[in-house]
Amino acid sequence: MLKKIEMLELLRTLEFDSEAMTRILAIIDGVEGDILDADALHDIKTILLEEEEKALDDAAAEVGVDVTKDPAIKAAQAEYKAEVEDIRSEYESDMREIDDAMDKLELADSELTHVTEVIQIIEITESIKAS
Amino acid sequence: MSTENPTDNSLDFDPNVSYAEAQAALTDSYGAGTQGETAAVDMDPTVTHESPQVEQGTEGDVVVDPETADAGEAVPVQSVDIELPIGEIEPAQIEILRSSGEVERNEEASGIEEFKTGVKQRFGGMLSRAGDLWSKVKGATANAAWMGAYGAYKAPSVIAEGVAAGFSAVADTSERAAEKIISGVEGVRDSGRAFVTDAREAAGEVGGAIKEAAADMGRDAAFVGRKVVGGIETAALVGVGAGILASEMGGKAINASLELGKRGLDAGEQFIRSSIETAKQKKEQALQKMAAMKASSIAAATSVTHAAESKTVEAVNGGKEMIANAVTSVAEAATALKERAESRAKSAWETLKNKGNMIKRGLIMAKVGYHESQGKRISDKAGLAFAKANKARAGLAALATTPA
Repeated sequence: MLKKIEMLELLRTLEFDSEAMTRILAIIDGVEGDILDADALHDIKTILLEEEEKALDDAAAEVGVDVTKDPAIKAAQAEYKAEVEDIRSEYESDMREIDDAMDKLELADSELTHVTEVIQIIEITESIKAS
Repeated sequence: MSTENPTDNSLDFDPNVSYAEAQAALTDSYGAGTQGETAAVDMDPTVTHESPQVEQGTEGDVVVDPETADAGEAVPVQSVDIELPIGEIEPAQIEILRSSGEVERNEEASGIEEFKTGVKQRFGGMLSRAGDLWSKVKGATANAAWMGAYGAYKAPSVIAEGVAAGFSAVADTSERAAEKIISGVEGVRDSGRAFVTDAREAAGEVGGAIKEAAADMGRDAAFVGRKVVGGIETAALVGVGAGILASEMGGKAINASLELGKRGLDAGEQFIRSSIETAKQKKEQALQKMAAMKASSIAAATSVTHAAESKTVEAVNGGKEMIANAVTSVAEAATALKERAESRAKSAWETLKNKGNMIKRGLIMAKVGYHESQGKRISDKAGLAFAKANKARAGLAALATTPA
């Protein structure tokens, strides 16, 4: 839990450049109330990670390091892709099962609706007989 | 049947005497009459030709009118035609018209005796002829009596057949019984007609003989005729009386038999009606029982149906509720899965960024260290950029301690 005022104080000490600061302030401004929620914190973290990455890229370029060719970077990127793929595959499998379950539920609901209609017809017939 | 009292105009009818016995008795008594005999039939002394039942003549009555009969004239005996209405047979009523003046019953015997004596003494041959004719008349009279007796004898058996038929077929045999009765009566009637015809012929012959006898006697033929007619009348009355009695008894027998038949028919009808009524009651009871069973079955079936319908409705409603809950659960599960996947993807992305940045940081620091080991300094621009990266890292470190 982090209050907006606490986040603004942190930003003031970090002295970010104007672009990153503008994006973070927009996120803080979009949150209702005084407390930043998890999504806002995540978005702020993402901006900070990007800001760090971009600054490191600039520093690497100044000292003559090509991070794009580094095997460790490539391995990390591959690991990330594989993990994301696993997550997506698992999610899609789960969603298919959910879709199947929903189809079965809709079919059962349709059958129940049909049974209800039959019961209504029987009741109407009995009513006509009784009259 | 006997002839103990030949002058008594009565008929002693014994229904127990068989036909053969009656015929034999009649043949013995009257089959061969002799001269001077008086035609007589032993009848029931309580019944005479003046029986009170004989009160009023109807169509077909026997009529003997001695007053108008002349010597040689055929006695006007009309045909016997007794109609017996079925179901309500009244005793045959026959009125015998006879003269009350010249021919009296008490005078008849003396007149006949006188006539017989005179004729026997004075008119030998003629008398013999008259005797023959007389025998014929007597025989005819006896036949008439026999016919009546036979009719009375035969009628019960004929009627019995009809009644038996009536009992054997209750529904429709009354008509057959009636036909048999009519047939029996017609038989008696035909016999009577034959007798009358014979009597008429005999009377004609007698009339001729009387005329001849009167001429020989020098007496008025009318006188002789009246005497003869008186005898004939007596004989006829005897026969008629016997016939009346026989008819009367036959009528009674018919009535009795018809009554029995009617009772049988009534009993049969009552039995049939009772059976029909019993069948109706049993049918009604069966219908009521069936109706009760049907109502009970319908009530039970209706109850079961309603219970089944109620259970079905409950099951349907329960199923719908379960489906709705399941849909909600599945939707929630899907949302949770989506959120979890998104969270895992974000986390993986952050991990990647962290790893990449840390690798980059390590590479940069390694490069910087290499430069310093070579006695070189990194550019200010590189220093500023690294410092900027450190600030962002410090911010991330500060947020890392903040719980989400």
